[in-house]
Amino acid sequence: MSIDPFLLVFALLGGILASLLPGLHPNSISTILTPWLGSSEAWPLVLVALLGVRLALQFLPSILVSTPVGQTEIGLLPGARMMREGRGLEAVAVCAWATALSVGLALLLSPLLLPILPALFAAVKPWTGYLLVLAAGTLILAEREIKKAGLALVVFLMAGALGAMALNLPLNDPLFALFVGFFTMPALLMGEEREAIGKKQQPQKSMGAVGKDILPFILLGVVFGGLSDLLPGLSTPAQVATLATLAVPLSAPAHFLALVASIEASHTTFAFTSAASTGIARVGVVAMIGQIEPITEAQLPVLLGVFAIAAAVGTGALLVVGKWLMPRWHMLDWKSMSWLLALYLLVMTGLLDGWLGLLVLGMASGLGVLAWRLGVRRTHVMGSLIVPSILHAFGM
Amino acid sequence: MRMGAGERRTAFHALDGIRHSLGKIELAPSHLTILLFLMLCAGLLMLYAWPTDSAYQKVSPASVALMQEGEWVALSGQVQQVDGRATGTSIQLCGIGEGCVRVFASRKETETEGLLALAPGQELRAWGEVAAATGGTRYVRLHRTQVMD
Repeated sequence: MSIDPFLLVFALLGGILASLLPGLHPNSISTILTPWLGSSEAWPLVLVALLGVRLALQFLPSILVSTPVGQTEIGLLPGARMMREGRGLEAVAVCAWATALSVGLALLLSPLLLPILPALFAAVKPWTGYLLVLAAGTLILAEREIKKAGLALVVFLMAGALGAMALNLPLNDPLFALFVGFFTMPALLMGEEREAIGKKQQPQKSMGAVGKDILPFILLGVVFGGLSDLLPGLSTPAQVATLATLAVPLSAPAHFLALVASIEASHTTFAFTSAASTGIARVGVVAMIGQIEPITEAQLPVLLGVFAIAAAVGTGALLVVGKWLMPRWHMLDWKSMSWLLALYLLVMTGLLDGWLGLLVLGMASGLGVLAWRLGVRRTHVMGSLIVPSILHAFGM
Repeated sequence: MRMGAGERRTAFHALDGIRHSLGKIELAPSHLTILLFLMLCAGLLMLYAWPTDSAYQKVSPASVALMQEGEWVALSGQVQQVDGRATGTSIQLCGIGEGCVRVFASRKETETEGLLALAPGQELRAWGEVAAATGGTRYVRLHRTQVMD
């Protein structure tokens, strides 16, 4: 595996462009282009570059317009909340710090994890199903009122049924259709974004400065990110972040955002180590690279090298683009923008997954609006991932 | 399992402890720039300066006979013959206009069912390590294969 420096630069620039458009996930790019480019020696590294750049930049659309970010769909909640408070620039800086620090820490920890991961996997595997049931119960009971917990259970199970169906359909990117439906479409339909876009963003004295109080949450995010790679059922950072909110005192959206961003960043970094030591990759692109060419310990330095470069470039681009875009965002005509965005997301879903994807998107949108109307936390739609994981853990 | 009040307090204290010990660290933009610069340098070093002797080496089927035991190789060729055995699957793989090599997938280590379905004439890419059979004949112990359509 090797890549020419010019091709690497080209891949990084392409990654920046693709990352700013919701729906152009490296999973989709890989699915579409691998049949043509898969035989090239550099192709796996181009995919790693796309993944690394997107890791940081994906947070920008999620903060601006509440679109899902890769596997950290609930990342949009704290980011969008900060945007509505006029703290969009701070949200961007928090994501940049969380991504850079978490990738750096995960890179340093990877050689230590490499020899012990197989034993850890084997030890945790028999308990996965029970841990997930426990986690789901805790999540629902966190509503505190019995009536609300009951309604949350209904939303959780309905989302679970929809998730189980969507994940078994022949879709390229079922998570995109699901989470655009759960979060973005209800926000567009209910005019929630108008609130965010109309808010003039507070300027930052110097872009990239954040409170040091986010550091513990970044460190915890790295630990939870490692766990999300370890537990076969808890394969997405979104699930781990949802559960983490129950165990960790989160008094501010910036803390939650730091936690979610660092879970996503460390989870993705550790995925390479996990693939090399156990053969199991919990990140779609890493799994696809493993199908093109086996990921071995010998290839880890090259893969992680490209990933580190791409994550650094993506983080830099996040700061630059965020600094330029945020002060201009409130000038947009949101009414036209929301229609355009909804249309764009519909077209992207249609292109990626056809009418089946649009069907899933429609059902997920209905469920997202239902959760809103019932007044329960929207995170209960994470049942769409947790229920299939529980079924899988118990061999169903 | 629900955490008791005492345990929860302990968890919160631990977090406060981390916060306190990090209290003197300031997060300025210049620090982030340095961090990103270090990530770039580390990435470039790992990508272009890391020794890759142990990575898969691209070879032709014929040259495996001359290689050292334990070397990791990547090769491609045409399937000549497939034999199912109690211990795994053995495939005779030949390069175009050159010699052949036997590649072997152990039932214990590799998924061999798909390999048994291979037909002579199919193009196969194989990754594995050079091993020596009784008598010193070199063969490739498979890590993974890919059928070329």
